[in-house]
Amino acid sequence: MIIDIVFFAIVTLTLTTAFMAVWLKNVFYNALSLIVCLFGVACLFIYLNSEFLAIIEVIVYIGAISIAIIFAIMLSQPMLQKNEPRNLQKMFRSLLIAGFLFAGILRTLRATQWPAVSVEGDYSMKAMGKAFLTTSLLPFEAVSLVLLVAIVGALFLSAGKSAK
Amino acid sequence: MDLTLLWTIQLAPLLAFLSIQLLPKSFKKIAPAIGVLGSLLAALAALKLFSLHLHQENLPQAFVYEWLKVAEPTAINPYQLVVGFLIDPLNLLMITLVTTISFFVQLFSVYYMNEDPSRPRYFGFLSFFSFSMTGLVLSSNLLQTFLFWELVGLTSYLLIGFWYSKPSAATAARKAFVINRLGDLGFYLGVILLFLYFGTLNFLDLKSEALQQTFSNPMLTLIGILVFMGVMGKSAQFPFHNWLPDAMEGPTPVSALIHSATMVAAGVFLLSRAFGLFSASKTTLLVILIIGSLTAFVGAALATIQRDIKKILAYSTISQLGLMVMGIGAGSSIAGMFHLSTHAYFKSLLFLTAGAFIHRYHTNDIWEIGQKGGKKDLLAVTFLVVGLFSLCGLPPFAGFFSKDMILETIKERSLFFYGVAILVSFLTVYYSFRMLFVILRSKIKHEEHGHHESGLLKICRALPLIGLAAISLYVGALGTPFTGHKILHWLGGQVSPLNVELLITTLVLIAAGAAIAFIQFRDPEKALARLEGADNPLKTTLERKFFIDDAYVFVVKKIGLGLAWVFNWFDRTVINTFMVNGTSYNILRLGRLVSKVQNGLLQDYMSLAIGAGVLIVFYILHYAKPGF
Amino acid sequence: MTPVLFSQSLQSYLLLSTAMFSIGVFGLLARRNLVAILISLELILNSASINFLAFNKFCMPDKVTGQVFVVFIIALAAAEVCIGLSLVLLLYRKKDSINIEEAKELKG
Repeated sequence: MIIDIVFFAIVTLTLTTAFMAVWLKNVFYNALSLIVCLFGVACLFIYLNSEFLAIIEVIVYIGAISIAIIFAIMLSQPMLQKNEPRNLQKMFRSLLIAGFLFAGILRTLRATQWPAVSVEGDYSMKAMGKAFLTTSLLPFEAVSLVLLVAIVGALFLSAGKSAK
Repeated sequence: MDLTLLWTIQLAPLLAFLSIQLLPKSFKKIAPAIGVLGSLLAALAALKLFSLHLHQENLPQAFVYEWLKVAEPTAINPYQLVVGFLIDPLNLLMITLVTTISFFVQLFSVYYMNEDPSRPRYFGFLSFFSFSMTGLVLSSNLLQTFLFWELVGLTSYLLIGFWYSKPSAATAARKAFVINRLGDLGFYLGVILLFLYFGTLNFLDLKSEALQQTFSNPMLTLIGILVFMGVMGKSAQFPFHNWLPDAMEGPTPVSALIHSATMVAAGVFLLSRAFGLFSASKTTLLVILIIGSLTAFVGAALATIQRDIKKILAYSTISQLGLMVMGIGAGSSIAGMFHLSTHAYFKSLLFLTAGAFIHRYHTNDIWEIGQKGGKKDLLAVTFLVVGLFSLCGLPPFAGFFSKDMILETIKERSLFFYGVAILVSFLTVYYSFRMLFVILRSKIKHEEHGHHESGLLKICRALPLIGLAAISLYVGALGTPFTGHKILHWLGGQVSPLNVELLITTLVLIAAGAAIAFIQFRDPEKALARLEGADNPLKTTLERKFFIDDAYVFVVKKIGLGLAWVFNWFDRTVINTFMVNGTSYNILRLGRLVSKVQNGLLQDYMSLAIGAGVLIVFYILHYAKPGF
Repeated sequence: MTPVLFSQSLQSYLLLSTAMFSIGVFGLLARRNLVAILISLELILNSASINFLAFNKFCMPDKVTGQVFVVFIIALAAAEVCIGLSLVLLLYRKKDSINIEEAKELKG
């Protein structure tokens, strides 16, 4: 029972902060809500038996990505700027689309018969490492290439006219 | 034998035309000789053919070839189109007439056109005309006749506009062709209707009884009137007569051949040919009679005020054609054909005589001809007198017998029209004697002798005149009691004893007309001065040719152009603006409207994409899994 | 819906991830600030990760596959944020604002 209440609490937290991350006007608040949301997501990862991933989530997402986002916010927008009023039409349209999307996906999911398998198994990091270097070797290498390209690209883009 | 002769008659002129056209430039000088030779061959062949069938054994004879089967033959008629020759008495008479007159005219043209640089073209076209005309006369069915009818019209255009650099000539040629075509429209519609319901166009099959069985009377009248429209156009009947005076712009021999003797006679010939068609409905005949009488009157009336010798003869032709048509309308195609034969000879004689005068004195005006010494040209004057006396109907010249027959026929039909015919005869006498007195009684002012002509040219000038005069006298004589009415028997008609009353009437008319003309014109100069000074409505009406030409112009301008204006407006406003421009304009607007979707805003694009995707997903889900 | 969220089950995780996904899409379409859009994008990616792990736990016999995939997702998200943020900088440099509605030159 305790687990269930906690579970419920964490889910609520995630969803609420997720909502806050998109709804609040001030973009800094959005970023901060995102951080809390990601933290909630990390807890959920623990519930899903992936402790390793939870830690990775915290380190990468919260520790790096969110910080980068905050850097970008700081560099690009004066904090004291008055926020523009919301465009109601746009909001309504997005709400509609998101709502239908939600309904559609949910209907599909509910109607499908998912195969039932036991939840016991080998979730260990050891198994994951083994998989990286045997079955998923190609994607592994490819992703490292992607990261390299992304870094170079970012440097290139932000260097502006003096790029060489 | 027959067939060979027929082909000779038909093809000799055509070959003459083709060889003239194909001659290299250095040989073009012999073109006149080729032309004369071609027409001589045709004339001889025609005479031979005529002599072969003198006693009318196995006539009518047809040589036909079926070239198109249109529908299944019915019990009555074959529903096929044929092409071929037909010879029967009517035909033989006409072909002899056409070929002999053609020959004389070709011969005269050697004299008349001896200084013209375009001689080869002239003789070529003249031969081509002979070809078309003989084709028309020898054809066995209406459609073939129509074909040659058109060809004859074309040749007439080419020859009227022979001196094409003269604007008046070009206009006259166009006018002739267009009015001819107007008539041909009716002709062709009539032919179509006839073939559609009757199934055959052969002259041998067009008998009144058979036609009356197939068609109702109104329909028959319609067809008759439509085909008669063709006759009106070709034979210059009122109101399609106004091209003939203008056609005098062509060389005089052309007027002699085409516009007095042969082409304009083609209409009357058709009336006789297809008489079964026209006589099948009494109304048609009445219409023909009315139009004929109108024509005769208008022609004679307008001839009385002309100064140009050719124009006098042109209006005279119109008037005589009207008389022939009246005769046919009154019920006797034989009277019409008889008068056609005599008229052909003496009218062409008159035209050639006029040509002799014109060529020597270089003027068309009768006053000038008189003043330049016309009366001293004995040859021309003699034949002028012969021709005019024939025209007036003075016995024993040819015109008397044929006109007599027509007058009798008309009198039997209706006294009113008889009165009109008598009036026309009177006017004919009046204008003939007018011409005669002006030429003969003018004081000679500036005498002109003809330049010295070579012997050949003299012969070419004289021989046709003599020949035509002789033949016209002979043909006239053939219809008299003294020769047993040969020509009438030939044509299959009935003979009536000489009508003394009519003889006396004619003589009285001639005397009266001559007397009045003498009183008015015994001093031509004074007469001219008086006429020019006069100013009254009669003069204006006559001078404006009864305002017919004005009427034509009015119709074309107001109605024709008016309609054209309406259609132009329709084309511009409705079609152009609404449909053509409108379509492009509206598509542009639509395009502009659609391009507003691309406003450059990323989120709008994304909304569109995701929204569409959601809709597609829903659609698939709805149809892929029933009961979802 | 609430009873579902109380207990751990495939349905609850799916519901959660769908909800988060929808929230992310909403933010994607509704925010004018470019950085806010990037944040919404992160939400979407994370919802996908949760989805993967949920299926991994409840439906896959081999418990490694899902986790490997989530690692890739995280790595790629990082790369994407990298580029995205440099684009933000560029836009700011050009237009002196990061309102996405100002970047509409490719219109018509």
